[in-house]
Amino acid sequence: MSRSKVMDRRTALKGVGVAIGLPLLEAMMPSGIFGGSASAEEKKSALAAAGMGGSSSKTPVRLAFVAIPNGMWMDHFTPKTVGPLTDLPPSLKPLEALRGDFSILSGLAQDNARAKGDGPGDHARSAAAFLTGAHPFKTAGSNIKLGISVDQVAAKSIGQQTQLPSLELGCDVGRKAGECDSGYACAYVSNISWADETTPMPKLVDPAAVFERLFGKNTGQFDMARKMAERKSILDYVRDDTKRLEKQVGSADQKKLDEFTTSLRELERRIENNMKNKEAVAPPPGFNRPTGIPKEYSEHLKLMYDMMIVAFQTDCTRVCTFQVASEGSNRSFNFIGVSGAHHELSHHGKKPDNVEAIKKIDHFYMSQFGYFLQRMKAVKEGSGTLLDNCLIMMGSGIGDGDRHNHDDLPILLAGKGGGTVVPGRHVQYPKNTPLCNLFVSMLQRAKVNATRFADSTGPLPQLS
Amino acid sequence: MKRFGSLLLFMLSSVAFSACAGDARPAPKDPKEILARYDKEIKPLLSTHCFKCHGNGKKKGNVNLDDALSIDSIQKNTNKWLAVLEQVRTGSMPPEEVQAVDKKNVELIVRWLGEAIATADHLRPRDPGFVSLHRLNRTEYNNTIRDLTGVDFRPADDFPADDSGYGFDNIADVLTMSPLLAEKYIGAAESIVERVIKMETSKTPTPLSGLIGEAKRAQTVGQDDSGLIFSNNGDATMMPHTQPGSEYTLKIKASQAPAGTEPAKMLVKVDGVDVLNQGVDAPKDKPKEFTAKFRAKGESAKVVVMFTNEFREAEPQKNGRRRSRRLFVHAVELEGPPGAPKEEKNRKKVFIAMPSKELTEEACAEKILKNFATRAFRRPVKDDELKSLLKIYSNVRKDAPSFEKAVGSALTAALVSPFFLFRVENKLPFAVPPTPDNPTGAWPLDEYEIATRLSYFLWSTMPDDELFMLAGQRMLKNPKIREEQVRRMLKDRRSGQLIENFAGQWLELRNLDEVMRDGKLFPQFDTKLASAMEREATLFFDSIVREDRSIFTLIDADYTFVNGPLAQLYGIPNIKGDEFQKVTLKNSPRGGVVTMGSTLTLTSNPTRTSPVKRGKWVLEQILGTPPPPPPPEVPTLVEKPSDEAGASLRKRLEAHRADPSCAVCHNRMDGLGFALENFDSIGRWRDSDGKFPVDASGTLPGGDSFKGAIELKAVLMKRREGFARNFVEKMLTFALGRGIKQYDRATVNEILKQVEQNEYKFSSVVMGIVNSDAFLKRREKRGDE
Repeated sequence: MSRSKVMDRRTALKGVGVAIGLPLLEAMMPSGIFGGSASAEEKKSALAAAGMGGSSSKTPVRLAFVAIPNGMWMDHFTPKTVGPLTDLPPSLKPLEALRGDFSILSGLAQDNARAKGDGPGDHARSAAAFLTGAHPFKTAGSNIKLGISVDQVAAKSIGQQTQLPSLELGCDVGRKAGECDSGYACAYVSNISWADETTPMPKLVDPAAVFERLFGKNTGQFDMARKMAERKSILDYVRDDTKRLEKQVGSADQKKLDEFTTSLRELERRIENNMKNKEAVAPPPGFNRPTGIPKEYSEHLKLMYDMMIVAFQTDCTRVCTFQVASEGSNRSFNFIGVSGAHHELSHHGKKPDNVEAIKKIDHFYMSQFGYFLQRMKAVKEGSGTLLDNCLIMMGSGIGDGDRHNHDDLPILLAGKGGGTVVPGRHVQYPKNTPLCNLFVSMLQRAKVNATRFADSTGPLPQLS
Repeated sequence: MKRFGSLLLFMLSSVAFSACAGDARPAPKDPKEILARYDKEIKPLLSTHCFKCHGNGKKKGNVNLDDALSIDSIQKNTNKWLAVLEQVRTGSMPPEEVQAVDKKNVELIVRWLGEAIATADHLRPRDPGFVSLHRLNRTEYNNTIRDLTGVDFRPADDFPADDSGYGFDNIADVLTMSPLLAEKYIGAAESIVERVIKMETSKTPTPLSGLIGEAKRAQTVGQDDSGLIFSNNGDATMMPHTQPGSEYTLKIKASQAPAGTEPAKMLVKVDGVDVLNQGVDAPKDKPKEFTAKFRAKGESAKVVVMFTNEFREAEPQKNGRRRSRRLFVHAVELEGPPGAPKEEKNRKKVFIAMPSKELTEEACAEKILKNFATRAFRRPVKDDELKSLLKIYSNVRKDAPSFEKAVGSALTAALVSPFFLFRVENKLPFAVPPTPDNPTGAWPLDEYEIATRLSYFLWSTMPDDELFMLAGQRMLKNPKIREEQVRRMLKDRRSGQLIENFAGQWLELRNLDEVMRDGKLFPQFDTKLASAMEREATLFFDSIVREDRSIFTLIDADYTFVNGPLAQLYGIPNIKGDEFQKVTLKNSPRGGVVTMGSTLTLTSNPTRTSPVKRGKWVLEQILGTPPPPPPPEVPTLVEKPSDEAGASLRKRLEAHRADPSCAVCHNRMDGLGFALENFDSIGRWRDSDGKFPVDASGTLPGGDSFKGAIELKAVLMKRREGFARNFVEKMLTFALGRGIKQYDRATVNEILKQVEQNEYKFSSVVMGIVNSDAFLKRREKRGDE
């Protein structure tokens, strides 16, 4: 395969490169707080009001969650010893240069991914429970019920200070036909972010669409103020219509209309922000709109990671989730010399060929993630880097793809959380420590007022 | 044994409707007789053979048979009794360690259960069920916008994907709302209205000239103000309206960014035929125009523009960048037919009037908005709603540069209104108390709601003028007129959506473009062959609809449609080229959906066939008796390195079934799949699998044996009642946009009765559905669902 396929990303990438070194405070403070024309004095007081002060140590902490499907070959993921990361296991080799920027947290479990009498459908369940810590109600469609996900808890708090409360990304559009997993509705398989018990937050898979969501469709000249004023009057009308409709439908449909009203309110908040600013947040100089989804999976992944970086860099959002592939993904990995499909291979039955293939796939995903961390580290922010001011959890809701266990999950935590976390270690927690304890700790470090989340029993110790 | 038990639990829910497949349907009896026979004949048998595990409070596999039996309890537990029936009939229960039931008594139990369930169903109250507020899915949104405004650029394609439930993506319960979607709605509404204004009112040509503004682009193809941008091989499709038989000229303005030695190649196809294959040797600032002529076949032509020679230079330029070849397409225009007036095709749908001396701006705006909102909301717009829209218009008009822009703002608002985005079905202003005649408190839908249900079921779009008019005249509650409409709608081109959306999901054709095959083993499998498979299935289903054939033709047809590549795959001689033609199949194992390339491919693995997947597919999609999924702790086929050389796939699967906890389901699946082993994993005929000769024999629990696809189809035809029920249930799911519940048995049975009386014609399934209470009525959601 010698096709030219990197065009899309390369165009976008230029931007990531160029923007390196642009300190956050000068260039891209939250535009919800002040407009481009604000004086230095105004900026300072706005910052103080937002509780962010002026020094880099007070730069906001951003949260990201990256979900990998089908578990990992744990023997090549878990370091042999606890303490400082010295000898990296084979699957972590792509992160060699980042040894001081992440930790491996062993022994964590997502209990609600377990069957608990609901029978098969483990992939749907683990995707659903991964960030929610909730047990999905088993249904193929009616009465979907799960719980709010950790990123959405953050979105409802720190997310209110930015253009977008949160950003949801993925690479798979989801199954186009047929059932999803053993009687579970597809919503559980293709969404890891949930606004509440019944409302999944759909993800964007086209980097061009992400770009447009962050920076608007038209970067050219048009009258933003008028457009936003028009939008606002349209929303007023729609709100009235919704009230009219509420009176016409039965009580069971009120819930659906509530979802609609909430979405409108969110839209309105964004419009009001835009009106205050007179202009949309600009992409970093030279960072162009990608032309669509690249053919190559690796390019697609990189481009989506790039999108996360610019979203954080420009402070469009501080909360992001990325589902690299739908849980139970049967993607083929011919391009790294693996024949067969991911999910089928993950039921390796310890057969050496299958295990080799799984190791290659794990290695591939870690290399892509390594690219992401490298780029984050290359973006300067105050006296540190963007990576220093982030907390990025990467992992899977399944441990070993063959056993479908939900304890001893592969969990990696990258970034320093603005100096609140000391990375570079392998920490072993007692068996069945709730993964949600990590979520509580992450939320707290991002200044989200949280003491509990789902089945947490407290914050996770030994992070700093 | 615990595992075994949990398996049974799942079988319960999954064999729900499988009973008495094939045999004549049991007739309802006098309920008193049913209960008396239970006490006298059946209970003693159950007590001897079943109660050890399933009686006296015990509920192994979560099955307990201690019911205080009444018609009511049979109605409430029909799925359980159906499962018992299937287990006893096939001899799967009782298990070996318990004393077997002798043949005479098996018949006794089976007959009683069949009649008891028939009786319970017969007495079951009709329940229309509950459908929640239905958001338009992406397909429905695209189609509705096309019919409402005349702009057809598929704005919903970049909305987030709709989740599906019960196998379809139009299930009201899972069509949720999110801030992202709300953002998309307002953005889409703005660009739709912008295009409408340009199309219907502007005198200057749009920057995106001609058809390309509405092109459906492959994901690799970009677009900006200068036109389409092809950086990678990819295509863009346009569907202009044409007059069948007339001659047209296609004019395409294109340019390139050069790289390497050859110019960018542009291939243009019309209805699958190459009309232009051109090196585009023109720089971006000096595009050239290329023309091609073609004769239109139908009411629209499928124009596909493709970039075919993507290339990236290996050596970087001085600035460090490596040049890539790109194709730019600036304009695609259609001229003709000769002598025809230009562009009267775009009848005005939105700006139906313009201000004039006789018509003030205000009055004109009202006229436009009243017409638009009525069509957008799929019912007459109310005064207060119209007033609010006019308020938007007048607020904007104060400082908007033009009348069109101000009206446009109100149009945009209507497109974000929940009355447009949701298919609203009103509750009644008063509660309907349950009565003996109407135990569920249901009420009839109004005429406009019926028109809307009909059009989204059969066309996946809004009602057309005729339906709308009939709704206004209150004619759609008249069954005769409704049936006339259904026949008209099935004949209409738009019913292609029923095939694409219903059949495309039922037969999972939509997944074909993601199928991967090992290139070394199957070099002939490419996207062209995959799309030919999809086309075959679509044309075949289309023939059932258009010719109103029996739905059993789906199983045992003696014809299909092939083009050159597919004919070659199937071993059918003398067919060349990309055009599809109908071929008759006599004494051939082909014919019907089970042995179609699409099905055989979709149910295989990348490197080998999967009798298990194929068997599961037949159980699920044909017989409607899906096997339960394997419990998580059961390994998939364990392949030891020595296996592959030493034993056939069949032998390895048989070893797998030695474990009784596997056998319980695999006995049902594998037999069916083995019968299809003569087809490899892209659906090609074979007599041996590697070095092993194919053994295509199989048996099913309950005794049916068969060898090869022809005999398998005969067995499926023997069970055709089960297929008919399954087909009706799938289509009812799609028609209603909700899952089928136990209470729907009354509805399904009634539809089946009509279908049977009409020789199982396709249209009778549709008629049965649109005449059912479930389709024509609604009720409030009950606390227990």
